[in-house]
Amino acid sequence: MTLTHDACRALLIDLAYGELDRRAALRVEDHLAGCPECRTEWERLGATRRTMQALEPVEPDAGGERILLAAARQAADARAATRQARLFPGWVWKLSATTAAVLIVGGVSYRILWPQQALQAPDRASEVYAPAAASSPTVANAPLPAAAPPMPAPSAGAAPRLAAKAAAKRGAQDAARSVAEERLAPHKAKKEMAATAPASMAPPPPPSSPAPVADADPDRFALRMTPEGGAVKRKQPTPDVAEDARKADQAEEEAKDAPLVGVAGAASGLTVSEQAARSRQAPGQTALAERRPNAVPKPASPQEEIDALAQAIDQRGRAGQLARVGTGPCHKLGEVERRFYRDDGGRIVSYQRRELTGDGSVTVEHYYDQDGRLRLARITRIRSGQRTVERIYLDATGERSLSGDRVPTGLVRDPEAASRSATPCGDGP
Amino acid sequence: VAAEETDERLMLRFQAGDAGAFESLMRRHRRPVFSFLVRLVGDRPRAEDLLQDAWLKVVDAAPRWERRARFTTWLYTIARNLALDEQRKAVHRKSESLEAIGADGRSLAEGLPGEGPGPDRGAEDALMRPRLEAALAALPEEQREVFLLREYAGLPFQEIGRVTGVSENTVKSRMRYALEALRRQLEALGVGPDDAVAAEPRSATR
Repeated sequence: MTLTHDACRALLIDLAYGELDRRAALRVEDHLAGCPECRTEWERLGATRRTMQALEPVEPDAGGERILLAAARQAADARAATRQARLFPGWVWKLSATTAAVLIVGGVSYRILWPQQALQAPDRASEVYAPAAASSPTVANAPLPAAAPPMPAPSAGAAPRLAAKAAAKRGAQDAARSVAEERLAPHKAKKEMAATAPASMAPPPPPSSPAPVADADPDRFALRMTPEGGAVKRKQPTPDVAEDARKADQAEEEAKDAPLVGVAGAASGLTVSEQAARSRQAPGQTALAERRPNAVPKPASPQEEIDALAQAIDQRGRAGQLARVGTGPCHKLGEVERRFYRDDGGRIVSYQRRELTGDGSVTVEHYYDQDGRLRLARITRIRSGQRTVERIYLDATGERSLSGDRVPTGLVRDPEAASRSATPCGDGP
Repeated sequence: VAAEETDERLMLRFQAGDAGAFESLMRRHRRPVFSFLVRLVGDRPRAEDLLQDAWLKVVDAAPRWERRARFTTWLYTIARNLALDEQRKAVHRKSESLEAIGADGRSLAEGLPGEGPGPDRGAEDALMRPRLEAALAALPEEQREVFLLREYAGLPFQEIGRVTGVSENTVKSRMRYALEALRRQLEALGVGPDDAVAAEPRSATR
């Protein structure tokens, strides 16, 4: 069967780009052999293509790659908690991945920056963590493994180094958890804890008795670590459990992946006998023993009051009791996202903004008190995939930092003005 | 092993929370997409922004990607739409756009990557390249995008139809016009068929 001249001509580019099957290609080639006009056309086409192929691909700047990888890592982390993600808009999760890191890092630095806190409540976890954390403020910034295997529980006969590491790890969990409890909804978290794990509030059992299940259960840990509070409400195990356990493993893995903190911290903070004693204790007990001083009611420090204020705002925001206005996220460098939270009286109680830099992002969460003064700024920086968090507590004037340190510029003390200024994303997200 | 995995498999893995899969996709496609964008919009800084936006959009929209969609089709659709949106918004900035490129092609060539000719490339190539860029830049946009997607990005005509929202037949006729216009442009710029020896096998350039 032969092709008409026109049909053949129409198929030349298909042939040139390899889009004809073998039979059709043979037919076109047959026609080409006997048709000088088509052959000329064919040769021209080939010549043009060969010439144009001398153009090489253009190399983009390398800089953008890191920010994309950081963004992808954040998104992947958030996706690893898929079911819960459906309950909240995507940007909440982006922040929440950060928040988990904030809780751990914030907790550690909190104890270092305010040693009087540690004096009031001598706490082994802080002893263990202080030295290393000071040299490595980003405890939780190790890249998240896609699926971290659960760590086997250390046995009493484990090598001292392992035992020390495991003890340190438990300390990290405990620190993170107690911080998580302090930070988010203290009343709610504690009530919940009392309801589902009464043992955790009771005097510690003797060392030989089994550990309270709830405290040793990674799932419980995951629940309390969940900053959104959504999971905390859940009382019955659901199919989410596996996911939560995985998250817990991830968190554990994060702690483990910062070996300087765990190993060096344990080495400098604990004697061998203490390590041995710890390794004999069940994890839950260790946690309890260390937690108890914090459970004793004591006067709240200014930082704690501010934390409570911020938590209350976060909680009301999550419960939908605050009006949220925002723009973004949009896709560009510079400021990409803004959120204003107003209470019933129309007062802005929180203002959050995110900025994409060349190699990461900066998120600043501002919290304002009832007088409209800025009291807390939580600055989360992600740079080349590494997260660092800074918390700046301000006194009642909203001007000076409680620690006496210099307050960074760029904090927003007048969120109303900011809410009237141009939106970051132009005419729309 | 990762190199053998299809784009679609990598996307599935990324959807499941594997950031490494995204990295593989990016390493594979970032440069070709950038080449497409820079030649489509004719402006390197803008192409850099668009490239970043496109990949951020891939991150954000990944959960909504469906397996039956070819990844490259989806990716180039995103990149192209961003470029067109941006162009629409920036009509007033038109002076910097393609019209600024003279017949000698110098302005576009200057906006293109700074690296000089490779070790095995002669001075002729250094002269040739700006002329090729100019010939490309002189194409009407609808022909240029089709040519870029087929010749450099390697998308089949049917997929190009999906990216650009026209029928496959329309794509092919634009492609024919593009090839014919390029031939004339190259002639006008003094690049005869004999100069095609400067070309190397494509596999070596990727």
